[in-house]
Amino acid sequence: MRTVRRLWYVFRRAREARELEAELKFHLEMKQQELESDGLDRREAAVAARRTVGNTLLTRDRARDVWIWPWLHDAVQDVRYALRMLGRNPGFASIAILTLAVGIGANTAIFSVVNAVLLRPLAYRASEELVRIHTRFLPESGRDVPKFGIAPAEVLDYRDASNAMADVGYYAVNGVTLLGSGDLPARVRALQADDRLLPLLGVEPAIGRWFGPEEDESGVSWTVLLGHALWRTRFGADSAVLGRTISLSGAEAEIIGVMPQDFKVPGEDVDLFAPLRYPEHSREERDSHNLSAIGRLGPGHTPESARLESEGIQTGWAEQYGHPGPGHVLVFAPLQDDVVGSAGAALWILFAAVALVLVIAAANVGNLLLARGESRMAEMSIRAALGASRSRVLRQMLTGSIVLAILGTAIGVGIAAWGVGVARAMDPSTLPRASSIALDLPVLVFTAGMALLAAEVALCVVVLVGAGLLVRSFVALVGVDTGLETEGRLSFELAVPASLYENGQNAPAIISRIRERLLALPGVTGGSYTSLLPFSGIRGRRGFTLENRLEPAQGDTAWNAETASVRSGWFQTLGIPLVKGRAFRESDGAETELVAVISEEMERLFWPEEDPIGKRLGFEWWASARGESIAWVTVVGVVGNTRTQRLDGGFQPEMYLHHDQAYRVHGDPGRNGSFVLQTIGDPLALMSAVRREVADVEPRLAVADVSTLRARIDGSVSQPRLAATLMGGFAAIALFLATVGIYGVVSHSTVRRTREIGIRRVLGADGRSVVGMMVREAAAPAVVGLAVGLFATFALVSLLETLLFQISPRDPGTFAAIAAMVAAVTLVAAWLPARRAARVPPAIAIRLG
Amino acid sequence: MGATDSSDLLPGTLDLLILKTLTRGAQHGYGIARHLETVSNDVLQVGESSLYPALRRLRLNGWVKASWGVSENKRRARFYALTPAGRKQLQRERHEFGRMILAIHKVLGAT
Repeated sequence: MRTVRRLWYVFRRAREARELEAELKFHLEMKQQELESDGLDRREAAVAARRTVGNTLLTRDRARDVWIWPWLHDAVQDVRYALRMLGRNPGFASIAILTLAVGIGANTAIFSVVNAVLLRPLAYRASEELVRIHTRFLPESGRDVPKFGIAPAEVLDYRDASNAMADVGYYAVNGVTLLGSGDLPARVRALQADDRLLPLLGVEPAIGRWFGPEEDESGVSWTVLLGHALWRTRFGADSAVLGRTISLSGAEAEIIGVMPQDFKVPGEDVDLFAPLRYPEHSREERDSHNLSAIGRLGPGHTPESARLESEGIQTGWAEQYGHPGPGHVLVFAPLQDDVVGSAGAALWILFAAVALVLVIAAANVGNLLLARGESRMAEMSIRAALGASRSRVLRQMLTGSIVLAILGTAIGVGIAAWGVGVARAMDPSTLPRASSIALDLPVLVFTAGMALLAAEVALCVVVLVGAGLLVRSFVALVGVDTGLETEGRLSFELAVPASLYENGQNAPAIISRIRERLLALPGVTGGSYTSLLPFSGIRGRRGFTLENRLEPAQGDTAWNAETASVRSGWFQTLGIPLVKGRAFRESDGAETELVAVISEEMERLFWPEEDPIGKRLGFEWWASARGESIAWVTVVGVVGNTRTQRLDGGFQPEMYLHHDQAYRVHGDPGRNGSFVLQTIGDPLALMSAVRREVADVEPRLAVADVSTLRARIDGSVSQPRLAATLMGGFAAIALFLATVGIYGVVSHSTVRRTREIGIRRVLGADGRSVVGMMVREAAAPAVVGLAVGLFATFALVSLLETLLFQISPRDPGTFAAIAAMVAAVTLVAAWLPARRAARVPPAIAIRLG
Repeated sequence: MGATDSSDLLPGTLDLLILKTLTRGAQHGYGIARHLETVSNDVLQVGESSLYPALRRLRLNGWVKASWGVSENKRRARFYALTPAGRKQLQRERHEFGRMILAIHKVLGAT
């Protein structure tokens, strides 16, 4: 009842105030009348009445306090006062709010990313038990390859032999052409797995079922599960889709399930899921490391104990099969670390940088508040004199800071939400697990306190040097010569599904026909086809033997190279120079002598002293699988080196086979690959004509993954670009904040010392010496900060080493440039307010003081 | 004996005195203050900075109600009257006050 009445009064407060006013007026009149009747004259009575009645303001306040909780009223008043004060000092308000907003926004965004990508466990049952199993060539094997897949026979043997693993699942990701769901043929990515993969992860399909072991056998009818996105976009999220048949690269497959919406196999971006169905002979394959494997550690086991166990298992294999050789080992990485990969180091660095920015921001706002607190001393004294209690004044000042913090945070959260949106949209290769990022609201408590200018400068130097190094490294990275001409080069994937033709070997003939049609298009000046499109992420390491040579000993260069099958015209189209011998000719074909063109790096590695032309390379596995003897391929030419995987790192040995001959050499029917066209004008504008020509030759082929070669190369450095851009941005913010901080402190001190400056001027100091004095005083902490910052950076910067390309983390040029920049900016920030102070005429300055 | 400002009264005493005053009939704020002064021979000087907040507190508790009327000298004034709840409260507080006085007496009389 009381509360109801209280609220009622709150609503009627204006009217209540008027009534109280009238009541008090009546009271005063009555008092005056009483005094008059006691014999005082009218004026005396009025004065005396006022005196006895006393402070009506106090009455009003007390009366109001009866119905409004006093603290609430105070708080509302303080907030309004704080907003009014901010409105009166728009400069201070906007700098403080902006500083906080940028600091909080950048931090929240980066922390949200760090949390989603690095900290939050993967969405699988007991995900900490899951490990990725890779193969690795140690440097002593003659080739230093940190991680690649595992061979089918190896993963099957390992699963049987290992006690460390509770279970192992494996898969391969392949492009397939999807037909039979209306629309045009589409090129989709299929994850072909064994039946144990999904139970291993502890995930169930959203609809339908996962496949069983019998469906992994070739010969039974195909089954397929749709990824959630594909189900929605191409099948209208229809749950009656189960039992329907679709065509996967020409083979009929029954839809048996749909995967959950948020399901992802770590590190893979796929559209549908199908059984692996290896041909029987492939299960014996130990050479082609084309499977990805995920294991679940058994109780009490760690990645390290699994590795130790695998050494024994592999020794057994070496004795039994003569394979693998030394230096060829299995490695086990916690799945989460593996997914995050190199993004982890970059994210932690960015997080550290942005945390420093926040500290600078907090120091800045602290400084500003401190300066304002000082200039409000007089105001505070008046308040105290008028009877405000200490706690009341404190409460009011604190409210001011909180209002500032809330405004800053609100804008900061907006900035963070935007940043998170940008991060989410990022490609998984740039930022793994991007789709799982959501805004986290970290609780950031500021304790207002004195923050030293020196600390601000020091932190700023750390961020700036980090950014300087990353930017210079990025510039070096994009300046790397790939050995490829990219100007006007257009690429697109075109695969020929195996089952469209009775004999898979028809693929090169179709591709050849399409190539002729494309070359005839206006605007196309050249073009060819390759099984290994540069910067597409596809690798093609293949082993071979060298005629009349002893097998490589431990420590020798292993016999393998990145092997592409290309059609004629490839080298001209990509601008790869012919160094020796000849390129492919139109006369090279499926039935003629097997020929290969090699790169200079391959020549250097295998024939450093001899002419490689006429030498022969042997390919054994495919020939023996067909009951033939070894296939010999003759080297006919040497071409320039190219970079086709990444811009950093050295050249790899490269070998080119003729597209028509690849089937005879290693069983590749030449069905999967991409065109690169050399074009004039806008390359992408040609695509409609390209699609028309392709459809004209074979309507069941899907043109996919259209992109310029330049864009592909740019895409390969998206991660360093992001790191450099963000660090650059943070550094700019840090420098700006530090500048504002220095400027603020110097201007405040000049205001406080106006009188002193005036006196100095009167005593004969000229404007320059006054400016010099002020700047020197500000410079002292800045120089200390600079020194501390440089020293701290020097100690910390080795953390950046893994992110840098062709630049030392202690690059003296970068350090010197940053030191000079910070010094210059500090001087300017101090000089501006100092000069203003020196310009005030001394006579006025003295009086102002 | 000097005058006692209302802020020197025991807590709750002013409320009790106002309620008691109003048992004689509805009265405006000035009238209540005047009555307390007269009856106490000017010992109880009730300042309006205590009186009006107290009246509002009583209204909030539902012990008095206020209505505008015309004073003896034909002025518009706000008259306060006891509610039934106020009458009950007066009895309770009177009882409490009696106990308190007795207790104080005992303390003072103790040797």
